[in-house]
Amino acid sequence: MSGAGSIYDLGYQRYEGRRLGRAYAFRSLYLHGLAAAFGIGRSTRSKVVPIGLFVIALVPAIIELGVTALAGDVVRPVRLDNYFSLVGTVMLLFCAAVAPELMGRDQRNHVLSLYFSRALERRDYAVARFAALLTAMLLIALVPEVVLYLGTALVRSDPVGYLFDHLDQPGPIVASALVISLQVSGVALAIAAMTPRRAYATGGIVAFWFIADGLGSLIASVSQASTTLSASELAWTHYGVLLSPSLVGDGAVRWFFGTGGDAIIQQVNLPGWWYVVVALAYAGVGLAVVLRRYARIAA
Amino acid sequence: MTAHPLWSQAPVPAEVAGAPLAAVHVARWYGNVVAVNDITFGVGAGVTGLLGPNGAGKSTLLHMLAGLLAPSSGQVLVEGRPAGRDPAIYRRIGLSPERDASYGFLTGREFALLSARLARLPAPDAAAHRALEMVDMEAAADRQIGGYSKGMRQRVKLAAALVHDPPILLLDEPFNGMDPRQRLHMMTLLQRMAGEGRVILFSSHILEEVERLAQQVLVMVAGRLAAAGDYRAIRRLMTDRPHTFTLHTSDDRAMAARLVVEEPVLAVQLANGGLDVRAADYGSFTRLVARVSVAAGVSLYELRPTDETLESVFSYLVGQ
Amino acid sequence: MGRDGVLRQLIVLTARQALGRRRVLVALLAACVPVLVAIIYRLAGGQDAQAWTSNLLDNVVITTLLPLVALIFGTSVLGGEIEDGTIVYLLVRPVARWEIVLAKLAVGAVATAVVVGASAAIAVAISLPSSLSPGTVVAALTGVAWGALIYAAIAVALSVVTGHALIIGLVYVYIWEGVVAGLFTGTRLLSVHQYVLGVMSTLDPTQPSLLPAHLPLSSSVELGAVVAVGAAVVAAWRLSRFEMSDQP
Repeated sequence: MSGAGSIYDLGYQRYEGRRLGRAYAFRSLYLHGLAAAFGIGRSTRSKVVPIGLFVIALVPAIIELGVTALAGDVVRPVRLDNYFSLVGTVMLLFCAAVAPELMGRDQRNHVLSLYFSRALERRDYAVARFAALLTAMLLIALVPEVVLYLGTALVRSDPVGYLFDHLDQPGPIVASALVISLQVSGVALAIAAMTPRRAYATGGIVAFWFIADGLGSLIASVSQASTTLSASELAWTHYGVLLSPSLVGDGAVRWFFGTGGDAIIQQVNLPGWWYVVVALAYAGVGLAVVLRRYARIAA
Repeated sequence: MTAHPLWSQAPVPAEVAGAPLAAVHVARWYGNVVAVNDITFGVGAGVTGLLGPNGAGKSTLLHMLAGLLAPSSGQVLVEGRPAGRDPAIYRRIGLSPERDASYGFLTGREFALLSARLARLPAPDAAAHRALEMVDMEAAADRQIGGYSKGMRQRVKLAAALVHDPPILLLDEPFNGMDPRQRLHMMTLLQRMAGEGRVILFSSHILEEVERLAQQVLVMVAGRLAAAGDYRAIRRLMTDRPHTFTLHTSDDRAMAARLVVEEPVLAVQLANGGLDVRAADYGSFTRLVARVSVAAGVSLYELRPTDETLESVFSYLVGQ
Repeated sequence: MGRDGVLRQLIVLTARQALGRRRVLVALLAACVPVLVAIIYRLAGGQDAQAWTSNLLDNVVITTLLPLVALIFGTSVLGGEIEDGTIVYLLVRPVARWEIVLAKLAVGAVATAVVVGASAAIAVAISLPSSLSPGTVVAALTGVAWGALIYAAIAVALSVVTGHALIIGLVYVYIWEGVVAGLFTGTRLLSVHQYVLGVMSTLDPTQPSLLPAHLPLSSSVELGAVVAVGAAVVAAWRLSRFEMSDQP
């Protein structure tokens, strides 16, 4: 045997290839959140609630189209503008089911440190989760509306003509869906971010919505029945409407579509764009809460 | 109970069927994943260690033995009756689960008392007090469990398992989080209880614990029972692995020269002030050592098998 | 130690556990809403108290508050133990599974009835003082108690079957009872809301009653009992086949 031998180091090797960076990490987290919202990539059981609720949201549209196709344009209980009140509950329940999954799972399993030790900033995580929930909500808000809009056109003899006549519809549809989705996502995510326990988050979201709704609508409706308040005090109770997320959402949608709204909204007679601003404020405050929580959370 | 087509033909040994705690062709699968794979054994009085790496299926097996999980196939028998049907068997079994779940708002004493009352004992206060004393938690018993250290929570869990004085104890990783002094105290306690005729089965992935405490072991690897019995006896059954011995004699070199030509001896090495010998067969080597030393006129001071440890048994079984 | 001793111990344990959780705060906050709103209504000198109070009771208390609180408490009493893993300490005892379910259900139902009942009674007393008869209050409380029992039983059963008990319960309440039962009158037979209304309305001595009802007392009691007992049986049966897993 000749000469010198060699020992080859087959151990730890550094990765010298391309690293895709922060934007890619953000995009991956966003897509993962979106899939997780619908239970994709997990067991069938975790798909039941989100997809079930999505189907329930579609049902009024489909029934409406069926009725129109069979009985003609007689009565339209389900229209583009009141659709959101109908599916508002579904959207809330969807958020109450999904937001705790998005935020609580990583907190429960203590894996946040794994995320934060990557190219991802803490706020990127929060924003990516928000974007994922928002996208899911937009799907639930938009798809039934679009189905209703296009379906109504298709059941007529002249679909294209109908669409041209109603070119003013898509704008309000998109705007309403966006505002509603932002509002409910912000509220749900903020509450879900505060606790790792799923049941607390779900219960908290529904309870918050209920409490705010109850307070808001009943404060506002006091003015309808009151005799002891002066005119200026009555005006103050009108602002109570803004406490109720459902009424705020409804007001915003009506303003976009230019139609009258719920009895209370009409009675209170606040400028329509206020509702939009308040809805966006809900979203903004919610996002701020989430950002702050994740800036300070122990990882 | 469903019978698996391939396994049920194997006969059940008599000592298994009659044992106080028995598993008969027990298997458990989750979809495609088999957690416990056709295990048959019987456990009698004394301390038995269930040893295996993490993920081997020890907890799954213990939960089935405790009647908290139904086997996918096979049967678990507690004192001859199938487990998991009737809550009355819990008068005869005490379980200390692995998971660190506790009623944080209760004090240790309240938890022991709760366990005693739920066990329908006629004198729950006395039983709780006795159980807390046995695990050395009397002093801290009036503090909330939420404020306990891990070792204290483990001990209170044990107290709850012991409170009704059950003849069968199932302990899942009981020494988790205990410091050496607590561990020694527990081991002494368990040995004493086993001596009184109790059946104690505990699981662990730490060899030293099992080696120190268990009289019999059950070795689980990847859901299967790799070996059962006294680990020294198991070692001797591992005939395809040479045994190692250490000898101290009055003339090591002469001994080495004589031994190396003998048939069962594979290798001899002078080391550590003695002789390290590797031999193929335990029995024949121990017999020939005496003969060789007499023939060589060498005095034999010490003959000790060096790899009759649970570690060597275990690493052999895991590596199979 | 006798059967009732065991039951009592379980009840005490559950009560201490349930009261210590933060969920209770959420339920209590929600229960303040009817009271607050009634106070505001009175301060504002509201008119047409009958209609307003009827609206409050039906649409706020019975439709939303009662099921929500019952679900919060009902999923917490048993589901909370399952999530925490402490259920094992109850399962490894010679205690019948139905005893465990009964104790948990009792605590959940009573807590719900007390919280919601107090809220409803106070709110009604504030908004309807002159025309209020004690009989009406008693009828309202009985209805609330009945609803509390049934909703809590459903919640307990759901929490043994699935980890998503709260959200599924909410879907049932808001979608099924809120929307479907409103649209299709036949489904009223399957709506706990209607059972509650039936009891309240029929027992109310002042007629016409404060609340509209579509089911007679007999149906409300019989169907409600079927649902409650059925749910409890399901819970006990599933608990006896409960499988411990290592993951929460």
